[in-house]
Amino acid sequence: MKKFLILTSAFVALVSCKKEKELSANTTWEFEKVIPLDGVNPIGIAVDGSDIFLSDGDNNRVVKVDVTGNILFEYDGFERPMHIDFGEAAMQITDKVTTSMLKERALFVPEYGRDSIAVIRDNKRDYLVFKDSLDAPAAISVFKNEIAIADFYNHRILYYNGNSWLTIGKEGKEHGMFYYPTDVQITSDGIYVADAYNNRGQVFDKNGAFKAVFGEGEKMNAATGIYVGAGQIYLTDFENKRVLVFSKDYKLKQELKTEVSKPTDVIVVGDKLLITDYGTGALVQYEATLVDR
Amino acid sequence: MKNIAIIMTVVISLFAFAKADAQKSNLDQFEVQVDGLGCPFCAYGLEKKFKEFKGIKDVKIDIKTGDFSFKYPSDKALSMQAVQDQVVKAGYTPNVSKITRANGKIETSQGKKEEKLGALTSAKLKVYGACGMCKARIEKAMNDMAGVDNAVWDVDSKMLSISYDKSKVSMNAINKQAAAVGHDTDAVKADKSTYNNLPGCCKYRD
Repeated sequence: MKKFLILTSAFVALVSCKKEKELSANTTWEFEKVIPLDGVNPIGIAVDGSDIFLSDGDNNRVVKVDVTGNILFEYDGFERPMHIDFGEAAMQITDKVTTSMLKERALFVPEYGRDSIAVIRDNKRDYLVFKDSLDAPAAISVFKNEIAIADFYNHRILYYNGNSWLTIGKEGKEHGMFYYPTDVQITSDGIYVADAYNNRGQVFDKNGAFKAVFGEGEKMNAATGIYVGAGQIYLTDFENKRVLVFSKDYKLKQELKTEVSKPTDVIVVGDKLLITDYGTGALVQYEATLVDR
Repeated sequence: MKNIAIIMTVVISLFAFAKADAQKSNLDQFEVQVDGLGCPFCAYGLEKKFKEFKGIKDVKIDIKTGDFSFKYPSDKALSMQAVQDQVVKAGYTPNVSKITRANGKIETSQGKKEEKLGALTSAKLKVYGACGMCKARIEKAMNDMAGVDNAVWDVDSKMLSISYDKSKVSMNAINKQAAAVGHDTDAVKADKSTYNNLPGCCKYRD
């Protein structure tokens, strides 16, 4: 019995060691590999389980790829799809004939050229119902029942808090204003925006009040994509060929440059960080090395 | 009866092709070199704004060079000014624009007046820049100058080859002209605000 307990303890310890790395503000990233994509110029990335979805704006499609970059499936017929996201917010959708409530998890695709948000489940395509009008939606974020949209030419973020829509920001250079926002992410504690041509990131609370700005001193040039992960915020610096990693208190922690050409978006999956590279038509993969336990 | 049906089909097809051909030849071709494009968001934005021109066809945008072209029905007589205004509305700056009308007539936005030049001097000058968009901007700035016959800038060597009339324009003025559009030379530096307003892909300073 004692031997059995020892063996059991050893097994549990072994399994614990193989537990996923816990990422934190102190995580560092090391270049691992480039995953070439055949004929895809990726802009946005979203992950559903082990499936990777990429928006391919140049080819008006969204593709599902495997970890080696092979295209498994494509949804076509979009007009310049941008930063995509998965979620299951209870929203009104329409197929242009009937209107219904979205009840299941779906892929949300902002169509920059069509001023609409497509909602994809299996092979069914609907559109989010809006009273407001968009002018080049560049990104969407879905978090529980909340939705945020980066409305590029209107220089604002539209935020749905589960009950009503709120407009955040207007055109300008001051804190709390935007100059062509291109990406957005809602988290439990706020709304994070890639304020592309103000070359910075900004954070708002869920009443739309300005909370913080970051990246202003980093000489960024087109902050096109943002992702908020465990303990860190990632901001793509499109023209300077890098992704900047910030802690949640907005201090620069790391600069990812190896094999990065024209980054548009970034996501963390497990202990991997994936960067969509529009310039080379590839995914650039980094791996977490230093992690806190 | 079967033969008549075949002949009718062929005749109708010929008419259809002829009509399509006529429509094709009734399109004006527009070519605009646009300053400020640098990313897909910019390129798609320009494309989106031009879709407001109903009937636009064959829209092509090269992000690296800023070359933008499209076709538009000639009967709508879309003007150079309307095209340039729409580029500005999209948030960018039109450089050289050219319209080839369906009847073969060519219009360009280059406003340089015809001038008689005397003896020409050839020179080479280092002008700092980074990309195809820089090339378009530098060459436009130079070729628009009174006294300049021709200017070509090489992206790789950063050298500007220029032929000009010394009695009408000085090398100092040429240096200043490059700096005025954001490009340093060894003699004259562009001021910070002009440089900062260059599109991202054109930034050449460390």
